[in-house]
Amino acid sequence: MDIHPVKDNIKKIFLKKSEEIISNNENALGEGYYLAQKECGEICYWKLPRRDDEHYIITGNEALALGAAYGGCRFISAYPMSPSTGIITYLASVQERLGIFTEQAEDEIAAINMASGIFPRLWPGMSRHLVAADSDEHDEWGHITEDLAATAPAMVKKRISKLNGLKGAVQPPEEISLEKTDVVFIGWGSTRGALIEASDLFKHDGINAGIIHFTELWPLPEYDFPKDKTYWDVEGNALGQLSRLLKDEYDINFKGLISRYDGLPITGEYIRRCFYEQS
Amino acid sequence: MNNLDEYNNQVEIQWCPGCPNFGILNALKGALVELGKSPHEICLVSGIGQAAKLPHYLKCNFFNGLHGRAIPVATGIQVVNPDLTTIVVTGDGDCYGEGGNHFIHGIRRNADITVLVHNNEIYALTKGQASPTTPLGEKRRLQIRGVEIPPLNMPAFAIMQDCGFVARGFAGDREQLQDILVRAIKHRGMSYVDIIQPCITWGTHPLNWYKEKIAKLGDEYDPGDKIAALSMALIKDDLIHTGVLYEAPSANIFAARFRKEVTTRPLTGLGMQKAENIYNLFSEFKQSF
Repeated sequence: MDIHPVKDNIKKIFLKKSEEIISNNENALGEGYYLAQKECGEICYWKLPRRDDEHYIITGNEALALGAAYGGCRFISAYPMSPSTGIITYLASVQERLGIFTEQAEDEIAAINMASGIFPRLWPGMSRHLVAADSDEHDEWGHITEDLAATAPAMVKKRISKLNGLKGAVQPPEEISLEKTDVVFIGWGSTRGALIEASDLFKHDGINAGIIHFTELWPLPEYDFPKDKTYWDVEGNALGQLSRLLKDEYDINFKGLISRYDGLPITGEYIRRCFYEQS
Repeated sequence: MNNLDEYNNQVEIQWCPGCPNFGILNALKGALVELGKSPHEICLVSGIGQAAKLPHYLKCNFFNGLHGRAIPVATGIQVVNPDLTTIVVTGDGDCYGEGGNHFIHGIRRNADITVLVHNNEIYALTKGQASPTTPLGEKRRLQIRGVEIPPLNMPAFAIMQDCGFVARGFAGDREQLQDILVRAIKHRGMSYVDIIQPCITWGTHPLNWYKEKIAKLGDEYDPGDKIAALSMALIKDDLIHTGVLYEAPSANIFAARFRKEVTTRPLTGLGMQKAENIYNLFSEFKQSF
């Protein structure tokens, strides 16, 4: 990576500060750059060559916000907390251009309730048709009812049929390097990067490690776990919640459980170390 | 063109026969007719409790949602669809207990909604426990040694926080209540009516006990005087003062700046924005990233 564009940006950022602050920051950058080159220059596979054509950087939150606005979103209510804060922050900054109303709610439950007040299908007051929405058990007109024996079973059946529909729409797990494996690690959500990192580390050890990674867990997708594999579970909780779910639903067995519950992120090295400790 | 029959629907009412909630229901129907509103122009929003069942008992749009959460839902409805008359129907447990945070911030936000609190000073749906407005020392089914924490005085709080319309009604006086409701619905910004609604099943006192304590605010009372209104809300003279306690023109109505600077049209009717080419779109917005 070329150091000069970073230097130029330091000058820009600290333009209003003293020359001393600028040169201190440039020195710090130089020291860090030198150290990184020396220690990781050979092994790091990230390259950032200088480009001549124009580029700009957009964060996922900004892209998502823009996409939502062009998908018809006109209102967002939110309570600040990473990683979602950037969405409403961005929309607030371009509110006039996009014609989108933004509101910071007093708490998360207020935020979701404000949004649910927007009635997704038929807008009340747009015609003489009335819109009914109810959170309790209700009849086909949306009215609360105490006659549960006559109403509830049909309503429950209706909801279960939605569950069946969801089953077809749910994302199956991602399979990574499942051919010729010695061991397969199963994980969900944010452990994906650590699993891939672990798989790379095991390659150096001469072990072929595959990965099955879930992003959507309920209803569980139709999925056939290969029968001839050895499975390990990797999770950021003490009791192995996913492994219990998978045992129940797919009847698969785990050779080992790698869990982390000290509040720190799971890393490739952590998975590797636990694997050898338990093997 | 409008009459009470237009608001009738065929839903079996689950309140006890003779419940003062019927008085509130009738006063609300009367107020809507008096205002010339049709059912499709109204949206009632509620949470959980006996009061929260009211939207089922007249013809209208309604959203009977989660316990305590009616005010945020109503805020969302009003912002995207300002032409609707949006009314929250709630109780002392639902609004001051479960949803107290939303009531507090609802006053700050000042959306153009009306909040009707059926205040029976107990939890009636769950058979008579203390609520946030049960008097100190009153023995309840769960508080068998008497209530040990003082009640909330929400009308005083609302006046202190400049809620633009604060009133107290009595479910047993339909005529006065209807007048209050008409004024509350007409008021621009959040209007709030605490309605004394004696519970005839789990309450401590008979209906007449309340009737004897009612003291209507007279013509000499000036609801525009904030300090006088606060004094009236705080007064401890063993009477129940009913009428409009405080009324002031609302300076900052929620979303007013947005409507002025961005669009006055209901957001529900704006439709999709067109973007033919993703590269052009990103280029157009790149300075904002």
